[in-house]
Amino acid sequence: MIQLSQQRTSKNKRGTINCDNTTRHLLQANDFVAEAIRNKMLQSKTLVINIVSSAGSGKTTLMIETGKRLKEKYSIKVLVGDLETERDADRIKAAGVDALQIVTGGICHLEAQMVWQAMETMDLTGTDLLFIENVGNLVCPASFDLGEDYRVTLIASTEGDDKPKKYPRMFLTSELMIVSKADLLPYVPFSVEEVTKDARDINHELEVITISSIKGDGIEEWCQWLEERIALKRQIV
Amino acid sequence: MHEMSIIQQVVNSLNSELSAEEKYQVSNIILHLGELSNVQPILLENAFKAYQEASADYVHTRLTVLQIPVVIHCDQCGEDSRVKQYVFKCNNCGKPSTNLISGEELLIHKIEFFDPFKLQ
Repeated sequence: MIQLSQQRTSKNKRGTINCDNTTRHLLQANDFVAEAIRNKMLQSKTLVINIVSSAGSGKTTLMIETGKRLKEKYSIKVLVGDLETERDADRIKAAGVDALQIVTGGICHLEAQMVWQAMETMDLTGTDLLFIENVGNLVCPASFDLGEDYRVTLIASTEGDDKPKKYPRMFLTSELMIVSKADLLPYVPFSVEEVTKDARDINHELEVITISSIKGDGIEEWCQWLEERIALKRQIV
Repeated sequence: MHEMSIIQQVVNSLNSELSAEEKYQVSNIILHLGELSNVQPILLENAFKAYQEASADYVHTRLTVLQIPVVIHCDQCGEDSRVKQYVFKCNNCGKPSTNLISGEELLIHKIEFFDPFKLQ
């Protein structure tokens, strides 16, 4: 917090106000709301997953496939962020999963405030699992805490395996990396070993799951990863 | 990323603390930007210039951006290491660590004021 008033010795300030408590974190408004979301979701024991990736890595398709497999067993909701259109939410709803679109109007990431507002529109009572599908971008969303329990980064085999070193903060702040579009691995110069090594140079605790949403490979493992964490969240008193 | 909105955030922070008279006396705003903050100093400086031109506010104020290196703390041997090439390992014992001491900053570190006796 800036506490200039306490530093002030005369009406006219002079020289440098040099003291640690003059620093102010520029994202503190976001972090404040993120903490409020975290508290609220703790009360309702809803597992919150922030899904991030570049544009076109298969976030929405993964949401649909996950919903198809788990919707009978759990109450699942999806908040989906995009610069324009409601296309992604429509696709997810068509698969029978409740979704709400957050149109950011050109903003390149979701902020906690947008999630909070969306949560006021969407009834989350009894929700076991809330996905927040972020705007497709590996840069800005890395800086914004949305109050999630876990951050999951998708990287498609078609993107190239050099992404972790190019966008280190995203991989540093994620718990799980999903290599998607694995059915295309035979056709593209992408090494799962290399991408795993680079990502774990940054974050040695990062878990890795390789999937193909279209063929179904790895989806079972991913769903199991989720179910374990839904169970954990329920146990929190 | 979003440099303009960061500048707006800086200005909002200052405006909420300073009177109109005090605003006029701000000579320098010093920001700390971590290397992981995904913000480019030069773009931020340009955004500040654009803000000054558009708003005619803080026109005599400089913006100084200091980049803060990525440093991790090793839980095993207690050493602090500067992270190079985004390999998050202790330089002393080699143990991986994501225990960040610095590098994610996006802070108003300090503001400086003109000496009122020398002003004008």
